[in-house]
Amino acid sequence: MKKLIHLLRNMSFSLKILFIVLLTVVPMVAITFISMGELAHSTEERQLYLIGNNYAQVLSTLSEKMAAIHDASTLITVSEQVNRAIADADRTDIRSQLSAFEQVSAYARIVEMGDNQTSIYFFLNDEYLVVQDRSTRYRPISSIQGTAWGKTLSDNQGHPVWVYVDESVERGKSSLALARQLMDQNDYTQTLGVVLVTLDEKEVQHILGNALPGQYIGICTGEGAIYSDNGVSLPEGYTISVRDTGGVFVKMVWEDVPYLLCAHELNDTGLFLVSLLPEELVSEEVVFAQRRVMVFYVIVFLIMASLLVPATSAMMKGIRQLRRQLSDVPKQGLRKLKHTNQGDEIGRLITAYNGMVDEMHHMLHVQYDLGRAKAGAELKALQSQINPHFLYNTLDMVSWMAKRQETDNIQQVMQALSQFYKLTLSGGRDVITLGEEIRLCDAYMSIQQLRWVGAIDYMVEADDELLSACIPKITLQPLIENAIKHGIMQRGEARGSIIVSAIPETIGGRPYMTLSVLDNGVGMQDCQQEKDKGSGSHYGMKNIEMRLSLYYEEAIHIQLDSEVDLGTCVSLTLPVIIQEEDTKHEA
Amino acid sequence: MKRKMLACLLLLVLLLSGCSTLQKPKEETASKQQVVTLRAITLGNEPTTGLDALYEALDELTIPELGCVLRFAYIPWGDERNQINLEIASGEYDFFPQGNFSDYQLMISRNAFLDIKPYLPLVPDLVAHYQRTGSDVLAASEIDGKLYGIPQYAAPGVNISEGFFYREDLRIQWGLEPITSLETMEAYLYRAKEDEAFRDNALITDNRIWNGLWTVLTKDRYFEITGFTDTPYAVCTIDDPYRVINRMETSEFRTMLEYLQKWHQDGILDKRLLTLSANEGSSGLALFLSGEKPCETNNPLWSLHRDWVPQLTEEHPEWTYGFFPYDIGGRKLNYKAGASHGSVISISSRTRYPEIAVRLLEKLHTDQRYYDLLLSGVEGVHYTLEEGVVNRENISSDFWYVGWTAGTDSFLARPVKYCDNDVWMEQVYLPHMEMCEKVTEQAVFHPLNDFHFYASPVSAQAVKLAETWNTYMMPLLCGLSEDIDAELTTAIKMLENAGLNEYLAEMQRQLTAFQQEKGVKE
Repeated sequence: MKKLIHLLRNMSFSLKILFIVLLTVVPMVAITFISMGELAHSTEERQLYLIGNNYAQVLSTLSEKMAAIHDASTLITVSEQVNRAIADADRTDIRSQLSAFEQVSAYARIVEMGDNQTSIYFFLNDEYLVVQDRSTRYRPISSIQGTAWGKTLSDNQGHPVWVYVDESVERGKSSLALARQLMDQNDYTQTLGVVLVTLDEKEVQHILGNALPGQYIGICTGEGAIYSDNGVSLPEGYTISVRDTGGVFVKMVWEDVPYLLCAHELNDTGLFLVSLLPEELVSEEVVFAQRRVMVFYVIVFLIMASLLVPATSAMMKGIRQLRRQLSDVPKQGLRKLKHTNQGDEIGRLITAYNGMVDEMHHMLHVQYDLGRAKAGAELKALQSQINPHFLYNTLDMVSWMAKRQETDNIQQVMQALSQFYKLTLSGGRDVITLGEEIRLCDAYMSIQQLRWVGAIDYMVEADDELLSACIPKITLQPLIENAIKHGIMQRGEARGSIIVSAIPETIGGRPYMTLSVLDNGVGMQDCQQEKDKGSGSHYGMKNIEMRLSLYYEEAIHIQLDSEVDLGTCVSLTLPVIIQEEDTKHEA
Repeated sequence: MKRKMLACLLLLVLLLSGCSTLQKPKEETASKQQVVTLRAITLGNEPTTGLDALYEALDELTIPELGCVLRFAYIPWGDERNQINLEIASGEYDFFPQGNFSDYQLMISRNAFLDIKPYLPLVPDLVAHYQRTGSDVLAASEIDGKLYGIPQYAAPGVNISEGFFYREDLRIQWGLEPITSLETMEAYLYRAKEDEAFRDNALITDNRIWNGLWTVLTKDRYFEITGFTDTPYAVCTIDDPYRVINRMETSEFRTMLEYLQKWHQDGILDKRLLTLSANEGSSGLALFLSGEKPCETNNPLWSLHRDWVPQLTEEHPEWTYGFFPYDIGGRKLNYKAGASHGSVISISSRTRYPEIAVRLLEKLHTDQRYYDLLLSGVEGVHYTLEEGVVNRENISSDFWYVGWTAGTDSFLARPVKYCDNDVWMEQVYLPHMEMCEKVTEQAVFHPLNDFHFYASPVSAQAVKLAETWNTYMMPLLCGLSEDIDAELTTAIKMLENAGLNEYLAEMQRQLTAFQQEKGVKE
């Protein structure tokens, strides 16, 4: 895992972009496949729903039609008017018979009014006057004999039964019909004839036509005899074996070809609405839908690619240019990049880079100046350390003391000189404690006081807590040297006092200390001018400020307060940095 | 590495695609077993939730045991006589309930029903069951030597039939005497008519009101020969029960017409009574429930207890009720009806499956499982069974199942608790049941028990008489008369023209024959 993360982190930008593209494309492909699967599933469900819905609609429409025809036949059968007219007709004269049958016809017409595809026929005793082979209403009951539907009715003991009637009843018309015996209501064991209520097969076929292309749908008996269908051929050699599937399509196989079969009884009529269709009819639609979706996804992919490639290549172009320019830096130095005027992240990166180059140039200048200042300071310090004039004067003073056999004084001078150089060297350290700096100043002043006997009073007032505060070495000594050289020795009597003080302060919640060197020398007229001299024996206060600022990492300013003939006070306010004991020597 | 990742992705894609493979249509199941369907007419209203649960439970019994399924068609009370006749004419049903609510005799005369007698050897348990009280009830139920229906079976006893059902809380509120007679009943009707709530409504909406009125007026003088519906034209006296008397020529009939005329004129009777169908029980209950009428005149106590009071209690738990039976109480002598005098279930003469139909009726009367299902419904759906009591009080009225009409058998029947109305039970129902038991102890057998009028010899007259009765007598019986004497005379004359005398003569002939046969047996 770590390796993978490392690999990814260090991968080139172009590879990363490729990786991101892959991260996008692969899920897209996965989603495409999943969607295709879902689509196939939903398309098949939709197809099955549509097929089922069509089937249910056909079933419902046919059921309603057949229920209406059943009701019509019942209205005829239970009608006392019809029953009495027919039952009594053979006992009346011709006029009365005609009148009676006219009443029956009138009633039948009223019943037929509900559906113009429905016709009512009576099959009655041949002896009735109105009964004729070609009659539009009354047919001889003998004509039923030998017909398939007559046999079906007989098998059903005259109870209502749905039959298929060929063109023998209605010329040029075959029909689906409900046949039932017309019972004598005065004696229910006797039959007056047969009532046949027909439904034009064309109307049935019109209803059955509401199917998918290639879907067979038909009406058949429980034994598989087909009464009517939508004209779609059944598979070769297949005969319908009706099994009520409860209106649900089930799978069956005929001659190794899978089919979907549905059968449901039409309103307890004994007839079944059967539908059969090859399963591939459903899968064809699924494949078609999948292809459509696939084309859509390919188009989307191509559009994405055509947009992504220019966008990424423009981005990569900027990155490559940046990389080229940056790779030239070791050869040609740090210089500004050529701006491409791009407003994107790459353009802003180049702008920021160029700004950074400017800043670095500036910082290099500052560092250069600081380096120079430090070098100067160190030089001055070295000069002080080996100041031959100071050493000559001191050695000359020692010589005089030797001549006068001032052994004690010589010892004092030599000890002070030794102390002074020891502290000046400080084991090569740049930073010492304030205590050490004061001891360095003490050593220096011991020598000066022996040289200028009784001319210089020297006093140190330092808070004990500050003695361990860090301070760049040789910070106070040059100030004391300046106070003697440019202050006290310039007075006519060449006498004076120097007070060195160290006072703790708190500024902004942080501990500070103010170091002061006060003399009562000749003073200065223009403090700033004197401060800016910084050359020769007047040790440059500017350099002290620079060194201190460099060390404390903040601006340090030397404060000069001076009055002519009264004296000068040089003071510094420095942060208090207390170093631990073990790091003190390292520092 | 890259190859591995690609392989994983492809596998993922394949797996996900696999998840969405097509759901195949379910495989074909075995075809439904071929069984015959028997269809039965029953009276009342089908539960609004349907009968799927009943059919499911019933099919589990009938398919393996009888090879049939039974399906009901409900005819609501109200116009049941005509509706039953139409269904008989349609020839599509196998079972019909028959009784004093239908044209039983007329339909027998038209050969509408199967003679069950030849099939009795197939159902020995049924035969034995109907002999368990000592007498052969099936034999006693024969008409002209043929058995046209299996009677509902109850031990002989005095039963409470119709009576005056009323709001007892209103009676108390109005300060009326308890209703124990025609006078107190009439006082209630007139007081109710004065009440603002009922002023604009008719109080009697059942055109069979004359049945109750006749019974109240004549209960110590006349017997019904077969019933008001079958033979409205004739009665016999208690003193001479084998002599047929023309009911319309009795003085009580005229008195009854006077009552009806007065009630009509005073707005007690519904003005539309003539146009209403017989047995307006369903609409009467609706009016009662909506507070539009406070009484009902032609409901038997069992019907009130089973159908009315539960619904009224559900809607108006604060109401209380009273019941004044027309034919019980106040008699010098009470008569027990025989088991063969109840309603019957007849089998259509056109049934294709007579043997299965007869065996199904045997199951109904001899198999507790069948009886419970067909009379009470499915336990847990239509009722709960608590310590042997069929309890319907916690069942929503949407699930109230009305049992197969005329299928009752007191030897299989379970006690039923229809509703949680203690006042009704304690103050009305149980006292009347106790009264029945007491009266039964002292009652004698009705002299006309086991007499069944066979109308076939006069079927033509019966049809014409029925039409003439409806045309000329029914207006009088609905109070629509101005000159009772003249209109009654005309009605009787028209009935005579329709064959009344031949009809009564045939009835007298059969009654005499019955008397002689009975005398021989005795």
